[in-house]
Amino acid sequence: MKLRILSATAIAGAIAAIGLSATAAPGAEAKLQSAGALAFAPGGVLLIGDSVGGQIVAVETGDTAKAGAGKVEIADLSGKIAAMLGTTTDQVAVNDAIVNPLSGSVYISVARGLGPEANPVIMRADRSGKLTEVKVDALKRSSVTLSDAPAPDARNARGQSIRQEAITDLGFINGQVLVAGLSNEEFSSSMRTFAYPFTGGAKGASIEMYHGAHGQYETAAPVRTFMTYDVAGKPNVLAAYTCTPLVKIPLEQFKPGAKIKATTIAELGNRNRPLDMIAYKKDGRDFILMANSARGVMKLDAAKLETYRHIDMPIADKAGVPYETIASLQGVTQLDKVDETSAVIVVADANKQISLKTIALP
Amino acid sequence: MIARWHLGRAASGKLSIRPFVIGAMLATELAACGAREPSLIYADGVVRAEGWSGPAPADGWESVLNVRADDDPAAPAMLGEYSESGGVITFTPRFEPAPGLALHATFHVNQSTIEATFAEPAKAIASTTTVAHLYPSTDEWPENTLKMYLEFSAPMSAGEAWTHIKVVDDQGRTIVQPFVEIEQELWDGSGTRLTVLFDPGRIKRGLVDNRDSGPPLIAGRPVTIEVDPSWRDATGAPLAEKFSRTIRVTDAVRDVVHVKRWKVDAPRAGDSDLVVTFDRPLDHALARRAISVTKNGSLLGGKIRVTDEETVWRFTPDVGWAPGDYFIAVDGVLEDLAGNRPGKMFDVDTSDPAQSTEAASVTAIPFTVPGA
Repeated sequence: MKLRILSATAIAGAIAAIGLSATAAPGAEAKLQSAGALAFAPGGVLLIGDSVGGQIVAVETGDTAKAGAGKVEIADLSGKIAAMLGTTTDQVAVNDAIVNPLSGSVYISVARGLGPEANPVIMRADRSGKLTEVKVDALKRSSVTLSDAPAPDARNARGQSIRQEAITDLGFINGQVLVAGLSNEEFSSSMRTFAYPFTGGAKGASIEMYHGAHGQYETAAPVRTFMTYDVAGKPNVLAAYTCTPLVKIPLEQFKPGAKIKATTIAELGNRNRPLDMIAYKKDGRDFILMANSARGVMKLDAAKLETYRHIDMPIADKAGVPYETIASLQGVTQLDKVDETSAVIVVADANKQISLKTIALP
Repeated sequence: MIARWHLGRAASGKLSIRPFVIGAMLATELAACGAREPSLIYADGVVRAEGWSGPAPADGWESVLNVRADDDPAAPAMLGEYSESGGVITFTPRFEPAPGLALHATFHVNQSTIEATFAEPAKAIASTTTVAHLYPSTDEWPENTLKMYLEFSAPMSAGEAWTHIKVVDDQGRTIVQPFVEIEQELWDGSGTRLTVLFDPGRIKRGLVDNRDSGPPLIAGRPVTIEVDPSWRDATGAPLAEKFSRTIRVTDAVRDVVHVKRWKVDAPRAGDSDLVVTFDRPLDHALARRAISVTKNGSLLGGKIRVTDEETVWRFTPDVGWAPGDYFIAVDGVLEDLAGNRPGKMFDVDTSDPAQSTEAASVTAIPFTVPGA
């Protein structure tokens, strides 16, 4: 049989939407199925990335008053959380930790259990280090469904397997929730934006990220971690891809359906994955602190990021924005700023025991 | 639920340990010694402290009844809900305690403190889970293979993948960091299928990792994919056996998926299968998800099987074929083993205008089921 192929436009209407649902409704009864990446929106609203549930849940914590100025220190964080949740340390995963900018309390996303039936838990550490549970189910909340990540046990009508999206990072800027993710099926690099407060029927804008690799090759590039940052007075997204280049993208380019080729402003070295980053000012100068899987904590000089030209030549090891490695910080997996002089870190020691510490920004 | 019971009177300085086996015995004894005797019971998933009298304590029930999952008195209390009725304080843990976990309860009552430890033996766990399949099914993988799927016979524990999967070369050397080690790990909802991405930094041409470390797979050099049996399943049991499979590595595939080259065997009227033979092996998950059959704009229900080492797609409709015109709809997210899509290569050489194409959003292949 000779094949006749029709283009999509020629047969518009002949084909129904295939497979991918595109629903998004504010879910006041949203049930958290997993708790991963966290971010804060204004007013003490905690955004929770739920990869298993394929959703972002926004929780009104009501935690809006300054809660002391102590330096939070919790040794053996996993052990303490395990004891509170009635399980053993090896059955607890600490997924993310962020500071509520209004109260200074630290919010920690946790999985109790490691299998598909693991329970999501949000813990809060106050400035004295006291841990309590944030009872998400009892708080006012809303949610938005990632447009093509159905429920975990869903099989479509044809019994086909279902994709999931691992949410790798979350952010909030100018009324928009930014979501970076990685599919467990197609190799795509989507960033989505949702207006917050979530509105019924609003579909997140999907943006494809490309890595204009050195020289001449271009591929989809999943974002591992990102933050918003003003470059020459304009809001940008600074993003680190899974294979370490640091890129900048003007926020104004984040439009539905956009295909973005970001500007690579730094190559930070191979065999390494960026884990988290924060920006701060010290002695009137701008810096970025970045935690990495293999290359420690980097302190980047963030002055005049607009002056770095896109790195489009193969480079030996690293190039672009200069950085120093902070030797005193080892095993850091999470970073968040408390104020302009201190940050909270999640750090694993040589025995993989996890602690929460407050450090002076270097 | 009661397996062991230690009762101590800390205030009197004497510690007595009285083992009980079942709650019924305890209840009988308590009835004999009178209802006001303070005591601690753990049964039906809740801790009950009996013998409280007077108003609720100002600092809450947790100030008089403390339940810990750790014998260190400084350890934080377990989360849970307290209630009181008729002099009995009930503590319901936030989560059912993990099997084998000992609970330590302390009850401050009548100027004395009683303590109890409740434990039950850990459940025996049996190693029964195995690697059920490794996709791609073919033993020949192109050197720019982008991903593989490990399917397990039962749900697995997350957080252990990257220390348990190895790629070993033909000299027995372990290839360093061949995968993108994403902390979240790309599991499906059932916890039985893990997606493993070969490090795109080493596959994509022109990147530092590709130039310095080379691609993880090299044409002509066989590799063995090994899964260490100490990887735990969701019950905590290690795998029943080691898994290994040797792969022949072939030349890179740098070409779009050519839907036009597929062979379509249209069904005759009735219940025979629609069979599509691809131009190359395709990604297992996407071949199942991204290809469907439509009639008059609606999806047709049916069963999809991807067979013959992911080169053949078979569709059996739920209801027998009616004569008429149909489409096979191919979603543009479909990928081959190297991430190439219909109309779009995985890594596009931007200096070649012919490669700078957009992936087709949907490609439709019409076919007709003839009348009887």
